[in-house]
Amino acid sequence: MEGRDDGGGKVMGLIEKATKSSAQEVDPRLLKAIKLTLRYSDSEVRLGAETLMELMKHHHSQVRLLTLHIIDEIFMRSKLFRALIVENLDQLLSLSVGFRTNLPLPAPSAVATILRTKAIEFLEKWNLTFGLHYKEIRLGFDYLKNTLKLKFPDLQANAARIQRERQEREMRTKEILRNKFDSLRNTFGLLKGEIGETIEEIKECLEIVQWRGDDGIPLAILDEEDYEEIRCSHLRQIRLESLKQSDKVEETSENRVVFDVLREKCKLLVKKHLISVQEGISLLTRVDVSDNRTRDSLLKELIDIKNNILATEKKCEEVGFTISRMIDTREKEETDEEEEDDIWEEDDGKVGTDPVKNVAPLPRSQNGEGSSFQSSSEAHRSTSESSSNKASSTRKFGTSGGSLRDNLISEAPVMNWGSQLSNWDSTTEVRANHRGLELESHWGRVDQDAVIPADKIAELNLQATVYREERAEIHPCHAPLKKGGLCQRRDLRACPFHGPIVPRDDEGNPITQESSENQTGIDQDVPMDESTLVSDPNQLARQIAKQALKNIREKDREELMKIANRAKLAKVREHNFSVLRDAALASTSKSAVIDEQFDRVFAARKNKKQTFSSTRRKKTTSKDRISERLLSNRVKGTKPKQLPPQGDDEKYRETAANQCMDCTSTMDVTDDEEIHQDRHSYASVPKHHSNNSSANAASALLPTTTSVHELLECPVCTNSMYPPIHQCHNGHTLCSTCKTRVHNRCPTCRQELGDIRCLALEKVAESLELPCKYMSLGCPEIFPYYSKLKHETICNFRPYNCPYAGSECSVMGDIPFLVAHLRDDHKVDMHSGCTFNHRYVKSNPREVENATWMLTVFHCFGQYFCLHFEAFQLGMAPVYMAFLRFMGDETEARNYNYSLEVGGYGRKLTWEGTPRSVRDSHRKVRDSHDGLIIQRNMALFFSGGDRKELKLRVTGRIWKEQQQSGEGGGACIPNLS
Amino acid sequence: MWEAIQGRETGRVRSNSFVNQFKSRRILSLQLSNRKDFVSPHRGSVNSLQADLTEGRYLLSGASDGSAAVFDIQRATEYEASGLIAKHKCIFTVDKQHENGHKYAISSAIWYPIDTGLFVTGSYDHYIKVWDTNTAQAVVDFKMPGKVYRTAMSSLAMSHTLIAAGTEDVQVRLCDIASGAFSHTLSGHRDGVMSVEWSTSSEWVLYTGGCDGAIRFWDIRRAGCFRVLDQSVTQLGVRPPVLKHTAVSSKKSAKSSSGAQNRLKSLQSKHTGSQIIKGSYSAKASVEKSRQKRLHPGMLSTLDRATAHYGAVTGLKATNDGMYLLSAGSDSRIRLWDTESGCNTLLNFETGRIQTNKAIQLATSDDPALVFVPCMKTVKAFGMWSGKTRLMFRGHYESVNCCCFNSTDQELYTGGADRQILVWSPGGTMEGEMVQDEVAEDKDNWSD
Repeated sequence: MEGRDDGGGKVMGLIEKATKSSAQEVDPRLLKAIKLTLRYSDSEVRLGAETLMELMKHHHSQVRLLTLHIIDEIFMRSKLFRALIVENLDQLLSLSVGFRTNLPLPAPSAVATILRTKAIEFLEKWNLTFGLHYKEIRLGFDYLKNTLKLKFPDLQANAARIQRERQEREMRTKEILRNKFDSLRNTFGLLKGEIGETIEEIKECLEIVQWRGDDGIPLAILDEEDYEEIRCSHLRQIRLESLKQSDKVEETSENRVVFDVLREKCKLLVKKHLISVQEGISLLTRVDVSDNRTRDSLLKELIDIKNNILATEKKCEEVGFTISRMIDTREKEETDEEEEDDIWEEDDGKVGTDPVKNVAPLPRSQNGEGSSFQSSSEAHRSTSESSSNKASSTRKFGTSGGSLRDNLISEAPVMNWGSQLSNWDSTTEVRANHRGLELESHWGRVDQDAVIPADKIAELNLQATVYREERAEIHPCHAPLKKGGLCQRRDLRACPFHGPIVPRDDEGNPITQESSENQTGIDQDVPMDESTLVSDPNQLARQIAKQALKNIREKDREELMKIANRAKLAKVREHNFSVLRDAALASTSKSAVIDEQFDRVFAARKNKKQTFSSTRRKKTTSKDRISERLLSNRVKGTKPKQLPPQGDDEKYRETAANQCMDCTSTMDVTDDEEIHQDRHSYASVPKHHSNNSSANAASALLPTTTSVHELLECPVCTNSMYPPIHQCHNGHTLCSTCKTRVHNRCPTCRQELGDIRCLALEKVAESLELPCKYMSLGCPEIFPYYSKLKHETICNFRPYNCPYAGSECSVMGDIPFLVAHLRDDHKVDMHSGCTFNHRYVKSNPREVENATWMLTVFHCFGQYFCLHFEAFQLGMAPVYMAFLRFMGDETEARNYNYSLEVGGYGRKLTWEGTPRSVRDSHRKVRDSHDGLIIQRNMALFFSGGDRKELKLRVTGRIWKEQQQSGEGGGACIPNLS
Repeated sequence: MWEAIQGRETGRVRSNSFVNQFKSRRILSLQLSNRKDFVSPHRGSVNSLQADLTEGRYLLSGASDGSAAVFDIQRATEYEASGLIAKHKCIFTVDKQHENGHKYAISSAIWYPIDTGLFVTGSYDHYIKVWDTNTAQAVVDFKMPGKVYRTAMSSLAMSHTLIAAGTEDVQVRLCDIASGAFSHTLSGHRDGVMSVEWSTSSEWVLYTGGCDGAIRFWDIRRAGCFRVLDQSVTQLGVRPPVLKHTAVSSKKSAKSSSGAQNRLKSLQSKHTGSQIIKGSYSAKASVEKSRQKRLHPGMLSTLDRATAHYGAVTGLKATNDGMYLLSAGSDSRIRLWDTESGCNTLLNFETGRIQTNKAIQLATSDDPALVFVPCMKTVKAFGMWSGKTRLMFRGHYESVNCCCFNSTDQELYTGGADRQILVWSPGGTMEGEMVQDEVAEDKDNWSD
């Protein structure tokens, strides 16, 4: 019991200690200790869970975060702990994710964010691992993910995707290997034969050479100078060593031919066959094919061949034939690289090797060849010299010797290594996208074949050199300070406190130039010595005395400087003054005024107080003027509010100039009119000027009603208010439609709105009479307030909607405006004349859903008509429909008739009717089927041919029906649906 | 367990008691089921759940997104994690996309009590719709005067097919499926009616609980309500001795409603003699009846104003034996009423908070007698006669609206505002026995 208590204390202590840190992670040692403690006892686990849950309630995100980390660690390990935690999972989640609005995560917010993301991450992990066993985890996960729509990192899907990608890549590799295997199997015989032949030839050559060697022909050493230049010392070493071996056959002029052949063959053998054989072996070991027997036999043979080749090579070497191992190894390296390349060459976009690698070995191998094959050394030298500076420079390094070279080397600037060297002077193009940024198309489509030309690469790889400044010693000022010690400021020329920097001795006294050399040394010592200096009392006293002396001297100097400065300033002032005066006198006509002004300026400069008073006086005068004006206005009966509140003197003067009662009243009217226009804003530009008379007529009654009308304007939507008019406790009014929008708060005073009607205002509104809203469009009528709205819905002058049907065009206006709008904005065809003949062609007549909308405008009898042609679905049947709409009112529309005809191949459909007004919406007309409807089959028949293309010829005529007008024939608008 | 089986074998234990013993053990071990998942198709809070009354096999759910769904409780549609988790997807749903689906939230979805061929949904769009289960088409609909809060059908009705509907409106309407019209309009409540419940002992008796805090008892054969429950009329213990109680109550009623009686008598005297004879006969037949009759048309206004809860009555549930009525109110109380006497039994249920703004659905189990009450995010099971919390079900992330106890499988289904339908099944019996090979076992994993 006691032990348990002890243990309990231990785990609690550990946990509390672990959560007290301010780090992002829990201290691993503490964590380990906690785990160790919990591992051995269930009661500990219970206690731990309890403690941790308690800590989660701590009102600090940092504590919660650390606690959560511990919970996660133990959660992944202990079953009992899981069971305990899962019981309170909702609590844990609300404490760590903070999804409950009444329980937000505590401060600090930065940690809270981490806490949340961590919690979500952990939850997903837990769900992945233990979700099967704990419904609660699944529920919590599901709730956060699907109900609260929190974003989870989606670990599983990511892992699956990576796995899938890897598998795909493996599959592709296998495929490539298999293809290679097939080709190898096909060409194996050929290869084998070739290799065998080569080996035979080599053997023969060797025999010849050996025989010669046995003969003991003295070996003439080739001229050292021949290859001295082109071979590095290392190679030469090898060469010398090989020469030392006496039993080796050496090349002579006699057996040069044989050697050449031998060399050729060896080269072939090593560079081509050995590589291909090795490649084959590696391929065979990796490939995974169904018939293992062929593979094994092939492999066996290949290994035999390889051994054979190696044996031959060795034999060659024994003979002393120098295919240096270095080439071999290099060659091998290269082939290795190439091998890798081969495997990946199909999908170079993804894993493609570094292009630098492809380029780099080139000069190297050239170099190698040049050094080993003396016979072709000349040629190689020339090529290598011409080909690359880099090669030559390395060669220069390689061949130690001539003093000129050494000199050159010592003179040559040392270039730091940089990426620009890896493709120095290369002429190959570089793939631009070889790394293949395939972040799920995040960067857009990757163009795999894009290349960067070599010159561009060179440009991009220009080496940048940084100018390095010589470090100069800046001497400290070292002037003695008042408080003792020396000034330690380091300035280049002059110390801002102590003037120019001069060499000083260790007490700060300036010394003459002669001793400046040792001065610097002392100077540098000073900071270190200072403490010792201060500690020494004698020294200190002396220093203080010196300091005092120095201070006095300084003061004197300052005094002198001041005097000099003052003198200078006085001089300048005098000069300025004289110049100004001269200038003033020089100006002729206004000289007096300017002079006066000049004087005043001068006076102002001399005596500021006076200026202030003068300006103040000026202000008061202007103010007086305003008050005067106001007074007079009031007397005349104009509203004082009409005065624009302007603060500037000049503006006042302006307004004062033309202030009379008539003027203000006219201004009033125009203002009001503008307000009107604003309120009912629509496009009514062309008529604006033509209704001046009506506006003037209205102006007669406007001034009386304006203020009331303003009162009846809703402060939110600025429309006129109609009952029920609401008001807040403070009496601010509001229309009923806006009341629902303002969330029960008065938009004016932000008070609670309540539900108070403003009956008084409603009554007042009732008594008002106002002109129609479309006054500006020509409606002359005046209505009582409430019937105005009703009238406005049927007013003949109300604007028309844009008849263009395809898009939801919201433009409104009168007919001329709409015609202009259709022509300019919708690019609609315009025709004049009362007959028409149109062809509608559509290449894909099957498409009905996004049907064609075609609109043509006709101008005849001084009116405008729109012809609509479109395709739509009538029930299930696809049809085409053509109908005419009159741009004007219904009553006028009845005066016209139109006919439409479509036909071909001896059949004809005719439609005759009265055009509908554009007041009826396009959809309404369409759905009433008031027009020429052509079934698609029929339309295709009329189009003739292969029924692939729609070619309809629609002819029509519009005429005026005289006798029918006024009979009300339009009342029977058909509805054929 | 083996002992019990042996007892049953030798005949010491009666079959009934054996079953009950077993069942009660199972019920007391209810816990969140890891094996059974209902895949909720709802995108709103689940407001109503009911397992069908014939087989207990099909679960009907109604949710706030206007959708109702039917699940097969017994057969899972698919299994997850190599048969460890049975997923029950809904057999069908009717939702907003359905041509005559509800426009707004479904507040109540109930089965036709006789078979599973029909079900009834009531919605906030003012409609009650009766659906054919097989074709998933609405066959009858009733336009109600306001939002429908709760619908109920009598499980033992043999002679009528009435849907009792509690709506925003003060009147309770009975919709007759047979005729497609309202057959009754019961007025008496002073506010909307949140809960309606048919008696489980008489097919004619309907209990309704309103937002005015009153619980009214209606006999649908007569006009008016015959009883208003009063929380201050109490009895201690679940059932007092009959004699004493009737004496008390009759005396009280005589004392309190003498004026009414007089008026009633004078009223009756105006009627024909046959009626009087009938009335007197019924009065003779039983004291209770007479009291009912005397009270109902001109119930005293004081009595009429009695309340069962402070605030709205949000849930009603009659016990299966029909003797008691449980009510939940927005005052966060559960009350147990004796339906016979109409008294508050003064049992204290240890509820925490109960959702106040929405109707909740209670559930009961017979043996052990438990009441399942949704208390905000949890569901609590109280002992019906003790009021003590016996079990607590935590799992929902938002408040629970409804619970439904399936007595055949001893499972509890709960639906909450987090759109989930959770299954609580007896635990501990077979969980450990099925060893899973493929699935990683849940065990300790101490790496260090």
